[in-house]
Amino acid sequence: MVDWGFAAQIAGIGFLTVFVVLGILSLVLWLVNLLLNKVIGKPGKSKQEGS
Amino acid sequence: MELFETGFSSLHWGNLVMWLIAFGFIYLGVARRMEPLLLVPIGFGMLLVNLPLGGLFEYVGEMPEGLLAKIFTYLIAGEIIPPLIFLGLGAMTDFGPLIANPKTLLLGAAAQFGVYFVLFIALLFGFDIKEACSIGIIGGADGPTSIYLSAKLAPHLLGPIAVAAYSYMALVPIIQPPVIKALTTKKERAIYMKPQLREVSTLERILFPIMGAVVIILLVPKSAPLIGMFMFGNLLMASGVTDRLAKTSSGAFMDILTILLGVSVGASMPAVLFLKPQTLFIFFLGVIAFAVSTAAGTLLGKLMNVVSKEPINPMIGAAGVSAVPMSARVVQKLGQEANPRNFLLMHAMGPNIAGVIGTAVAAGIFLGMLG
Repeated sequence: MVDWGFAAQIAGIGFLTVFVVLGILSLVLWLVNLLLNKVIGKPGKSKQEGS
Repeated sequence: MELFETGFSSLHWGNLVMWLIAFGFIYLGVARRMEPLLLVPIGFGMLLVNLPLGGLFEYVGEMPEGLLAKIFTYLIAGEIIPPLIFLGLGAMTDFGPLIANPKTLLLGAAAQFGVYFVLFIALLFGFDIKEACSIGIIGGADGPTSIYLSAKLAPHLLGPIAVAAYSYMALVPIIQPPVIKALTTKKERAIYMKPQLREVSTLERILFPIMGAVVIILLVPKSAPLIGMFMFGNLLMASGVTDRLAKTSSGAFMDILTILLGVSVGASMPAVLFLKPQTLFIFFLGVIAFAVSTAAGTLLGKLMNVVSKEPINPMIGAAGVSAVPMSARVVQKLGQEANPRNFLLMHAMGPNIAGVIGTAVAAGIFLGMLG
């Protein structure tokens, strides 16, 4: 007998967690770029802008 | 008692069917150049194990006796090779496109949807929850992760799952385009994206694997073997001071692992285990998972295009599955077909790498809940 409630829990929590984890990582990357821009200068300048 | 026995007397029709499948794999690898590094070893391993009395994949009770059985049991089912392959992958992956455009991580998350969708379908087909999770992960299109997860949750299904995952990785150029074309208009596929991403500094490249490992493993501890090795391999490359280690990890070491993995995964396909309705279900569910993942990534790409200030070609979302770099190449090709000015490869690499991380995280979550 399939426990659909448990399966829904695994799928729901699982998919949401993947989004949360990658979302947090995305936010961390954005913050680090922001911080480095303030501290060191502009490492994130576009190549096109530079050329 | 016979002094000498040939294999002919033990040859079964099932072996002949497996020969045909093995020849198919070798043909696709050699003649069509489709993922030859994977398909040729898998095909040859499959052929070897279906030559009767060779004993390469023989077990005495639970103990492996044959050469390939030992490699499979201790190095693959024993969860050594998949994380080490992640080390090599990390050492050959440029995180630049991902760091330059962090929001593409979300596309990598969306493209895991097929994993969870097929989990339910597999339950309907009569698989238990651990088996269903192992089958669903094929949708991530990541061979080492599929093997790692099924070795832990459903070791009896490891062979078919591994072959399905690697086959679909090789078949990305056939499976993905119809799904992408069905969900996008030609106008959307022609959306132009500036070819250059921002420049990523060396410091950012060094910080990413360290921060990535800390953040992900703290949030999903069971992803540590895969994510830890992936980030470590990348640090070896990004640091610029461990070139020898990075070269070895991504070169000869990776080749050795690929040989061992390919030939022993192929060898896990003796006719008696492979030619069962269950295997066909796994292949069927695998392709559904992969197509649904492609669709989910594309749909989030469409949504991001609507809400973003900069135009986003929705096709880059399809590269959110982990088949690196085949998915990104498919997107590049379709992009150029629709608009010859478009050069989407680097834009698609961000979600593609995010997909590798996303699938490893999904596997870690399954292990945390069920392992």
